[in-house]
Amino acid sequence: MALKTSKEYLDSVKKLSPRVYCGGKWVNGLLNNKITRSMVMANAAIYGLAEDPKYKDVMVAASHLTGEPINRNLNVARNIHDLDMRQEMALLTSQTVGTCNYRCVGCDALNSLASTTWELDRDLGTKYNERFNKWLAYAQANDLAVSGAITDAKGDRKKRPSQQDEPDTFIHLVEKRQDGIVVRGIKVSQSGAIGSHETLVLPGGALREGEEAFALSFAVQNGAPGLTYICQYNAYSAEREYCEEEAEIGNPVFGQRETSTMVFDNVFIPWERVFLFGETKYCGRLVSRFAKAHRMNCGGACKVGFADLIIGGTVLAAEYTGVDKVPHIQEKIIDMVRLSETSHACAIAAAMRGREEPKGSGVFLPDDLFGNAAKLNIAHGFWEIIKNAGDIGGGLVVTMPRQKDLEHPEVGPMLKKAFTAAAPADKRLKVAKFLQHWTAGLHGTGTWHGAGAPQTQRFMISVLTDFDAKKKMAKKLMGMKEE
Amino acid sequence: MALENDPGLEIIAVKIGREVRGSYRGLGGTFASFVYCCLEKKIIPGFHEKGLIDKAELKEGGLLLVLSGKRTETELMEVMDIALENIGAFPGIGAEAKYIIDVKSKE
Repeated sequence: MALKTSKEYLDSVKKLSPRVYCGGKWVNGLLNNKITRSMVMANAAIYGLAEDPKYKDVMVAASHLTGEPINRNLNVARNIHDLDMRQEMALLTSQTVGTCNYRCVGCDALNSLASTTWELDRDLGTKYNERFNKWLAYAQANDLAVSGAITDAKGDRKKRPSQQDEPDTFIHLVEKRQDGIVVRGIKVSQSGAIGSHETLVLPGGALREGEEAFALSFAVQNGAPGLTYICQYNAYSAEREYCEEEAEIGNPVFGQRETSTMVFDNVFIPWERVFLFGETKYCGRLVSRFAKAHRMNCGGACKVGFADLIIGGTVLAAEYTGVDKVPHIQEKIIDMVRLSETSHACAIAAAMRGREEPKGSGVFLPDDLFGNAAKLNIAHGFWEIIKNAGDIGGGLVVTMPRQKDLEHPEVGPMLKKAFTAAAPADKRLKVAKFLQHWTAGLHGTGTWHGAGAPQTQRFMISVLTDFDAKKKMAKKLMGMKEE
Repeated sequence: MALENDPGLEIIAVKIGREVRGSYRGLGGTFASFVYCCLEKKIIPGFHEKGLIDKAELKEGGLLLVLSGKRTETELMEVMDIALENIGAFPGIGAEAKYIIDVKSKE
């Protein structure tokens, strides 16, 4: 079996029993808890897309290891077309579920590992790439949902990992054994790890000589003893947990982005799943290769899918209130499209200008500059987009009563009188709730930080841009002599 | 897929009583992961509470695992099915097992 159906994924999740804590209690079955279920249902929908012949080009690829059809979420990009389809997948999945494709980080992590393990073997004569390919072939053959864990808890940012008072703020080695390694530490903000069969763990950033204990990359099984997932919890979590009907929520089935803090308490990782062990010199490039892929996909395409949904909701809100023909409303909607499509254009450019990295590896990664530009652009643009959605959606977006109150025998008629406009009150409230989810929810800050906070893109753009060449061009045109 | 014969994979058989009741396929190192959980952490994957294992010891070609309490063969197999899937092994048939987990009930 190389392609799991949505149902087969759900059946496989029923057998998983990770140690998950959510909102004050331990979760007994991911599908039995309303919050964790929303994450699992989003993943199931992503599996479902690969079943639809309409999306085959985007969602299905041919494994470079076996030639078999595989889910693109487990594909290593081998050419420009693969990169282009990868960013199209990010767009399609976010348009479909309005939250994370929870296999996305894992996909970008495995592409970085394919590239960097090849380089490690070439330079050092190690066998990491062979080992990684065996793991990947296994993941592809079983169509595993793979998430990615990059961000360490980090502790005091002034201190290096080895200087922290609490060593567990970074994933680190506890014991090297004949059959594997034992690790402990904490990864934070891990999207969808709870409902993934496996998680790929990468170091959180560049490391120096002397920090070998932190230079680790490995794949960990969902239910590995010693691994605890502590779910995020906020007002939207409580709303889902305690609402009478989930249909009332802004994104009823798939919810907000669900992340967890992953606590590794002496977790055993067999050597067959270890892809980097102590090679500090390669940590920076492993993470930066992940970042360039993720900035194209998460920044330049995924958030554009979100923007498409927000724009759709905003146009509906304008129509339902009868302001859709007002010139300044139309102008603001066009601005939303401009901001969104500019980011998508950067993602497409990042794919089209992608290249093999390193030469000879066969692994294609997106163009760095365009990928970073895509992410930085949407980080800022997204706030503008949700500002306009809130503007056009009106105060109702945050002042609306409960949709279900429309059915109340006493207040229902009052509310219908109050909120019927160019469309019935129920439609207006439904759209207002949808826009509330986007404009007053988690996505603004999530988009800002996802794939790295904007300062990291600014740094990369400053490194990647040849300012001297630009100065030279300007001087030449001005007729200014070179000094 | 050619994976059935891939040397990178491990076949783990579950023996209850005199019979092999199930066969699971996992990536190399799956058995080592299972053994570490049982011997070092005293936990069966997928079951977070301690006390489920009465005895676990390595023996030639596998592991002897005695679960606490009184359990039927069906119940033992249900525990092992959850345990092995949570450590990344899936039901598989047709190949010779590299490791055997011999599972018993204490009572």
